[in-house]
Formats: sequence, C-alpha cells, structure tokens
Amino acid sequence: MPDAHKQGQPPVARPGGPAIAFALIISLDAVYVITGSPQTLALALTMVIAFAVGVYDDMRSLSGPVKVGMLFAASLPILLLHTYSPFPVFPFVGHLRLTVVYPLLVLVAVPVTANAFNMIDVYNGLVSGFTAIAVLPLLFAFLVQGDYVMASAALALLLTMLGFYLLHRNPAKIFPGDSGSLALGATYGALAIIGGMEVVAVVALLPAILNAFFVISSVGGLVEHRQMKKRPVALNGQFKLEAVREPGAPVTLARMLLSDGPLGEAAVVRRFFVLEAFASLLAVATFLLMGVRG
Amino acid sequence: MTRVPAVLLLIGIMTAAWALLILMIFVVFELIIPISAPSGASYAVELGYAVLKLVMAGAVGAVWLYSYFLMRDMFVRVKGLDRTPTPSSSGRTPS
Repeated sequence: MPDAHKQGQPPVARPGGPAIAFALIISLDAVYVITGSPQTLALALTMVIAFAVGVYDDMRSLSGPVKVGMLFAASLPILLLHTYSPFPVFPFVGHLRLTVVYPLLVLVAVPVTANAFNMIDVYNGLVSGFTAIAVLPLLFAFLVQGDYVMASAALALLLTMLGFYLLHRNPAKIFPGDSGSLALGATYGALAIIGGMEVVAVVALLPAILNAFFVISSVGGLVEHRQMKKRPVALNGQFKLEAVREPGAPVTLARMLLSDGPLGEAAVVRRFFVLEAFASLLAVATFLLMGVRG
Repeated sequence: MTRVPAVLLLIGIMTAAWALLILMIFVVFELIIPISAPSGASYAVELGYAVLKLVMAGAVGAVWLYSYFLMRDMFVRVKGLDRTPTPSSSGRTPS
C-alpha cells in the first residue's frame, strides 16, 4: 500500500502481521515446550485469535464496534484455561478479591488493549517501537517477582518487536496492518492479566489509553480513522505533518504533539517515544508502590 | 497560546492522569468499599449501605473520568487547536 506521508507515496509491503504472529508463536511455543506452563499456551492462543480478527480486518475493513465484538473471543483462552488470578494487586490497597467482576474485566481488557494499539498504528515505526518500550516495565516486574515464565514471554514480545522495528522504522519497508497491531495489543493485554500486572500495564499504556480516550470522546464513539469526517492531522507542502486547527477536529495524541508546529514523521514518532518512556517510568514506580499497603 | 512545548504539557497530563488513577483506586477500594453497616443491622439497612457505596463509587468514577475531559479541553484551549488561523495572525502583511 502507498505510504501516504511520503513524497510520491512509495509503495510499502502490508501486512506484516503474519511475520509478527509467526515469530510470537515460535517463541511462545518454545517457552511452553520448555516450561509446560499453560500461561504461555493461553498467551499464544489469545494472540492467534486477535491476529485472525486482524487478518479479516485487513481484507474486509471491519467497523469499530464489530472489531471490538469479535475481539471478545480473544479473551476466551485466558478464561477457559483459567490462567488469571481474580486477586489483582493495587498500590496502597494491596490484594483485592474480585472473583465475580474479574472475569468480566478480562473479557473487556483484551479488546481494549488490542484497539488501543491499533489506534496508535499511524506512523512509521510507532506501534513497534511503542510496544518495545511498553513491555520493559512488565519485563522488569516479572524478573523482580521471580516469574521467569512470564519474563520469558515478555522477552519474546520485546525481541519480536525489536526485529520488526528495524523494518518498520522510518522510512518503513513494511506496515504491520491491523493483523499486526491487534495481535500485539492482545498479547500485551494477555501478558498483563496472566502475569498479574494489570495496573502496571495500564500505567505503561497511558499514552495509548489517553489517545484512545481523547479520540473516542472527541469523535463521539468508535469510528475508524478512514471514516472520520474531519482529519486531525494534515500533510503540508513540505511533506511535514501539521495539526488541523479547527473546532470539532478529532483530538488525537498526534494532533496534540503537532500543536507546536509542523514536524517530519520521524520527529513526531520520537516525541511519542519520549511520552512512552516517561509512562514506562511511571509504570515502574507503580510496581514499586504495589508493595506499599495503605 | 502558551509557549510551553506540547511534549512537556502532555507529560504533565500523564502525570496527573497517573496520580488521579492511583487516588481514585485508593478512595474507592480503601475508603468507600470497606464502609459496612453496623453489626446486627436489618436487611433494609444493609441494602441501603450497599446502594450508598455504589453511588459513592460511581460518583468518584464520574469525577475521575470528567477530569480527563477537562485535561483534554484545557490542552486544546491553551495550544489554540480550536482556533482557525487567520491571515492577520500568521504575521503576514496584507499586500
């Protein structure tokens, strides 16, 4: 498909989702064979289902609500294999007993993270670099807790992303497509739930969550970016991105970052990475605070 | 329109969002949920306490969510994203 943000719109291979899914399946299955842990099996199955929804989306372009509805299925392996603990840990509060509510939260969490990743997949290298940074606090937390199975799974996601980033960074040679971004988001959400690091993950994903919240609240619902009536960002004559200054234009994180003036695509992505690095530091602080009981 | 870089403003918003999330969790789970009816209270009183806790938790959640709307709108306003640039504001002199 053409790279719409470049002069001459050069063609770029898409989707890279199958390559991402293949790398994750191989690495997660390796962890499963070595450890025999059902956690990695649930993780791999969640990723495969989200990937399948993404492949369908790449071919047919699903509407927002339909995509979210189909992604509920990706939560089922975690619930059916019972690879979650309904006693999440919160900072200053400690363990909570959520035996009834927690399975419902699991059902919602995977579609939410998958869509949050899908919504930030807008620039060369963004979703792959973002994921690589966001997985670091989870990896740190798993290692500190001595949960080496989940640490191995987090490492598999990190290494897959670093490999993909080399081809996805500006100027991109490949785009992940919906199959790639949904698979990544679902894997990240599953990693947080199965590893019991829900709050750490929520904080690490703050830029993506705020972006999703700002977009949904300013557009008034789950709307595909292709169907937005007003564009949040436009390309100027020098092939730089600039914020659309117009009441009613969707408030996206990219539009907010571009409010200082026009920027090249690589510069916008670097600013996203700065925000994500800061969110990851907050996530590490949250993990350390989880030991503090109010 | 403020000259503070957008990245710094967004870091401020993220820090506020993080602090509000932790505060909301603490208020709901540590202050509201542990409220319990006096021992030996009737079923109606127990139910009243449960409804009160639900309403209080809902109110805290609504305030928390509203704070995110406020932060979004504050950013849009201070960065002038809701103002269409006019030729006179771009610094050009009319020919």
